[in-house]
Amino acid sequence: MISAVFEATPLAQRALSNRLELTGPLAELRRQGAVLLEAKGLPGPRDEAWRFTSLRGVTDVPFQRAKASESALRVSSTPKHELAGAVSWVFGEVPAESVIQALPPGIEFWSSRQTGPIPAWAKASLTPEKSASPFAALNACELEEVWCFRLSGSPTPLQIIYPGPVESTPSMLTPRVRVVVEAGAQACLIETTTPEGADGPSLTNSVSEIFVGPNAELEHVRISLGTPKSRQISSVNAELTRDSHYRSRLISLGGALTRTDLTVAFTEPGAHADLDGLYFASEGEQVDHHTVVQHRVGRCESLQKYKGLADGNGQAIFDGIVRVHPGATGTSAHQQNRNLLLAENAVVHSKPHLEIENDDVKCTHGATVGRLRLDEQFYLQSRGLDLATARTLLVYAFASEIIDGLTLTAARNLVRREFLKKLGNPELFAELAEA
Amino acid sequence: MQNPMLKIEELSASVDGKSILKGINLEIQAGEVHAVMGPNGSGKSTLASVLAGKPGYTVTGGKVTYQGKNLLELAPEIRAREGIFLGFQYPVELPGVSNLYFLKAAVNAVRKHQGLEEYDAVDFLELAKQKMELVELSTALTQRPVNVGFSGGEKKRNEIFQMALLNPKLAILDETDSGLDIDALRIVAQGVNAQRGPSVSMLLITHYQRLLEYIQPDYVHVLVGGQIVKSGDHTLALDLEEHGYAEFLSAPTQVGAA
Repeated sequence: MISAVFEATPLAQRALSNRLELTGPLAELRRQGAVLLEAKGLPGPRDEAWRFTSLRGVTDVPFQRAKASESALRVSSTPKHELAGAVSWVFGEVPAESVIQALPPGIEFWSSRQTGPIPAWAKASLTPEKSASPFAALNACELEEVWCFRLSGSPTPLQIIYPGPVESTPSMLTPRVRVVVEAGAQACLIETTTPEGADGPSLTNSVSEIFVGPNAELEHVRISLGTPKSRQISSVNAELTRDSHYRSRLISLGGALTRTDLTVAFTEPGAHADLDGLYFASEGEQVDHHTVVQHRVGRCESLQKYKGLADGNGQAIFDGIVRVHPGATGTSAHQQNRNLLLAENAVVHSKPHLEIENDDVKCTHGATVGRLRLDEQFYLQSRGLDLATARTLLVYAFASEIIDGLTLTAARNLVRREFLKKLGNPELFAELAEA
Repeated sequence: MQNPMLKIEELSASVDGKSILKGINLEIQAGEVHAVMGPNGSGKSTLASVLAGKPGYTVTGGKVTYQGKNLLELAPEIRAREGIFLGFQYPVELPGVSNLYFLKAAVNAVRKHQGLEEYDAVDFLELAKQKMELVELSTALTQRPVNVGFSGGEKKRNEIFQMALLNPKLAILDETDSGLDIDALRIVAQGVNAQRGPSVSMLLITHYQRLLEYIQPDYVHVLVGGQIVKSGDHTLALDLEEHGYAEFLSAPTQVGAA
């Protein structure tokens, strides 16, 4: 039965009418997902969290479930951007037992496709969230596989690659991954979405759950590359326990729609979250970052630094909430969003906000929107560089603060290369890119 | 006789509708060093900016000929490639872009335009090393992002380092001495003097005579109210140091008043 508030969108209707069976380890997730989807539906333009973001091409399209594993195999000829020095796995490929056994010490893997008993550390990946967002509910409802990793201190970074579906009809991929970082461990996780192989309109609707154990450290990089027909909606939920340190680097370099909702919850004191973002919307693109930082307990620190660029008629959106709950004393929360408009018709929406429910806190936030400065362009021109080159260098300079913050060299080079490619002059900056 | 390096005739220019330059005449031959001095607001920096092609300035009259070409119709980067260098009063910072990378791109853009072979990385580094010694900049500093975290003196030395690499025919230095302590001033002057030669002309824009103790100009011009009111040799700078600009400042408004 569909409730009164339900937006009768073709996508939700398709998901609810053509359901997966409620059997196997994913049964409870699927059931709960369908219940939520039925109750809340998918967002429309009146939904505050989607006010600036058009879901045209998403909720009005009855995307079919892509054949994930087939897609993964079929896109083997297109770039997947495996990072040098990392263990790189393509979501949807069924890893052979020998491949799982060959993982470096400190990285353990479990998939819901595996038979046999479920390891204790992986069980939480099958528990439905109490209040999933509409797209996370859709993800649960459509789930065919869940991956779970346990990282307990491997020096080798882990990369998870989400390729696009290759079907020429509208197709949707539904990755769900949980990564658990064990107490005291240091780890590096990179997720890359690369829908370059996709033929038709595609939707990648992913959920990533991150658990950072006491005194553990995680650098979590997400790189979303897009195509004119790709739509990506990602929910990233991180839970930070006592004295843990979480560095999130969200890089979104285009796509018809690339929306990322990052929720970081401090559940024990002493933790630190360092959240950087870089997003770039060109002609015909919407790139949208929503962040929610939940200071549920005291003595935690969050630092957010998001930089956005919009060119052509592109739309770049940042909406960030910091909630300091009652009793979360000694909280330090800082949020900064800076934007660069590169064209007359480009649009930037920036909505930083703080909700503070106690006194003993240090919180700041700020947002700026600017354009390239003529005097800076002139400086470069006066050294003999043409206007296009001067502008490229200045745009790169704006973004470099975030790009240079990526500690893994291979990830940094990938982002540099893709960023400069987007600026239209990759050859000129070959040297700069590999610097 | 050869074309002058630069010939400015009755040049007038305005910013935001406000007239700043009001008929400048100045001729610079190859190899000559000219200093333009004047009080704040007299139009010194405007003159430098108009010559280098900075946006936001409107030329309202007169003409400027550079090596026989109509300078004012050239884009700023073409002026640079044709051999004009502007040393900035406030150099721009470029995070994420290494100084050496930036300069190699600039030097090669200029060389390509002039029909010279572009430098590869090794040759360029070799050349850069020679030039950095000249202005006492460390390799570490030149590899850092352009001007980021540089002190005021380091930024100005970096300007002269850039000038040395770009090897201009006409160098316009806009208040390069401002904000420098005596050591930095000496290093900057040493870099500038090393560039002097029979085919290089310079236009030094300065408020104080101090710089000219280190770089002796062939000619000194006093710019007041957008006009050159007096020209002379380097001793004029010493006069100005002693007596200030008072005699020039009061003159135009007093005409016919008494």
